[in-house]
Amino acid sequence: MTPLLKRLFNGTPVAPQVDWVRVGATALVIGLLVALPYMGGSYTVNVGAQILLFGLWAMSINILAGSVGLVSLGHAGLLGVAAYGVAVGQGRMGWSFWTAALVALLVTQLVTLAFSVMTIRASGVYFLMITLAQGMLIWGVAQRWSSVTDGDNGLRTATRPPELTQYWAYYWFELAVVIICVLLLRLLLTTRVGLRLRGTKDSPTRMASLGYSVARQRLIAFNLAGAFAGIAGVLYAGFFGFVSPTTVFLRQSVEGVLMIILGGVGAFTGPLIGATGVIGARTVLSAYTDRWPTFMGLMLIVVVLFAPSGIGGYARGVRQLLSSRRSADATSYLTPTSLDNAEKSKDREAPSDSTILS
Amino acid sequence: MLSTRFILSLMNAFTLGALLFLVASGFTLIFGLMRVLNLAHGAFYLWGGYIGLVAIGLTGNFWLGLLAGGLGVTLGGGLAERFLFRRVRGDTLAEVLLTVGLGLILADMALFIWGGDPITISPPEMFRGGMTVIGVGIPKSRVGLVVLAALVFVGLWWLLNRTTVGAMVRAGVDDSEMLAALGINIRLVYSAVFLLGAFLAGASGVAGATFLGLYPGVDAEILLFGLVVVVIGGLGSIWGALIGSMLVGLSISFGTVFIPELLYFLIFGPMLLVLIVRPQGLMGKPL
Repeated sequence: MTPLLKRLFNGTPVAPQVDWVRVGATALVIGLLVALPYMGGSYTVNVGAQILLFGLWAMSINILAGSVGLVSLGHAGLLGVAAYGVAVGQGRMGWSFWTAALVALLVTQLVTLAFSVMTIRASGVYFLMITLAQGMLIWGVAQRWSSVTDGDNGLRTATRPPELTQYWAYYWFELAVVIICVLLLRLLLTTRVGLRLRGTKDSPTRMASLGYSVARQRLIAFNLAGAFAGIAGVLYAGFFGFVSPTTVFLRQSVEGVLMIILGGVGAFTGPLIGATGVIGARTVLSAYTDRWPTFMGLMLIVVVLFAPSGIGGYARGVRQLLSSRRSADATSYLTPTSLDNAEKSKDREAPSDSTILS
Repeated sequence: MLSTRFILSLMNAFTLGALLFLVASGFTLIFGLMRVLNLAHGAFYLWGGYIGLVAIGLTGNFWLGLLAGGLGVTLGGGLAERFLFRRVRGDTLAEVLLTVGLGLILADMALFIWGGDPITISPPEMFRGGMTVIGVGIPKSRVGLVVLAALVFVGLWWLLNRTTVGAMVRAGVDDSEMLAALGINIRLVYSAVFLLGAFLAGASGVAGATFLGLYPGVDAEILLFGLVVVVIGGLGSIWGALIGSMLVGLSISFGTVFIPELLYFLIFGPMLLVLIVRPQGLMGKPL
């Protein structure tokens, strides 16, 4: 039990003690989330449900960005494939929500596999370009394959399973799914598989010299990201009941990138915080103005310029600034040394020259 | 005997290819030299078109509108480059994300100012009406667009291959660090190329408005096609932009007519193939 707790909350099974503060904080947050339908009305719960599913989707984007340092500008495409899968499965094939969801997840995984193979040789800007094209390819198909997707009209055929039609029931369903996914992901990242992924981001050349295939790590990360994006897509279909090409348009993918940057790339719970921020902002602003895209663009610019490590990083920076007068403590050996920095600058493939990814 | 539909599609392909070349030439130079993926390029096109529209409305002259569109975007792009992009120079991810943010704002502001209805601009008098080519009637403006693109190609080729500035740009595409080490003010070269690219994008917005029209979303489409052209053609290569634009123009034109439902596969297929097999593009230098 203790190793499990250590993996979940300390991030490694070899920590000296379970981080009970984190355990307590997580329990508190989960408690509050479970209690939300009792505290707020249908509107609040629905916003919460949106944050949950987009938060899971953002976490999947962060698997690529935070683990192997690849930022995808096409992740809305994977979300959309799953969502369309559910809508088409229920609408045109007459399947139940669960059957459609299963098929949708399978299709999404196949598409993710194909996409991941296309990006083997790409990193950095090229990865951005390919994923942008991939996302817009899905958009093009969604828009033009009218016989299946009804083009720009979108599909209204996704319906929740009969037990979950109530807003609070679906919310708890989503909460359960998201909690399970988050725990799974957290565990996975503490295993050797996860550590190898992290190593690929920190230094691809070092990983290669150790005998690990960097391309393979990237493939693993991409397909993992696709799996969770697919789950988020299924939740999306059930929640909104409606899918359209707008779901997979570039703007949605950009929103996802904004979420992970706002929360801090690489921070495990960062995407959830980022999703809360972005969806919160979108919900509040959309009540007063149609200009959400402008605000989203402004948020993106401001965060990239002034808080590239996200809100958490910004707070950390402020804290460090305030405590810089204190003498070095025992953990100072954990800070990057000049040797690490020198190695990073020679490592052409390393994405760490970006303030956002480090 | 070639069918009329085939010849028309071919003409359309050349026109679209010409327009794409105008857009992609600036895009590929910026990308090739500065390694900046300017995802606001589509928004530059959009704004160029709308500014040109306003200018034509005020002066009644198409060519002034073309100039105004180009210069307006150059000014805006220059300000963005100086105060926004330059702050994160060297951090490619941050630069790209800044261009994305800028593009979002520009597109939304255009929607706010000019609304969502598609607008077309009438071509200048000398290019109004139709003419017959190989027994098929086509609007003169389409031919005009091809002529314009050809002129721009020649101009850019001459600029890059026969002037000192062009030599600096080509050297920068190859190795910008070395260029700076040789004592050349690399920042000035970067800015110059960015301004040129912005001008081309803005001017082509006005030109394209006679053919494709202006509407919310055309920025994303143009950006996308421009991206495909540059990937296929190769970074920093004008010839590559030409070849890429023609290929994409042909794909879109024939694809829309013969296999509309699979159009995007037809466009992206070659691009993804190039990325896997020859990532630097057909005419690009090895990465």
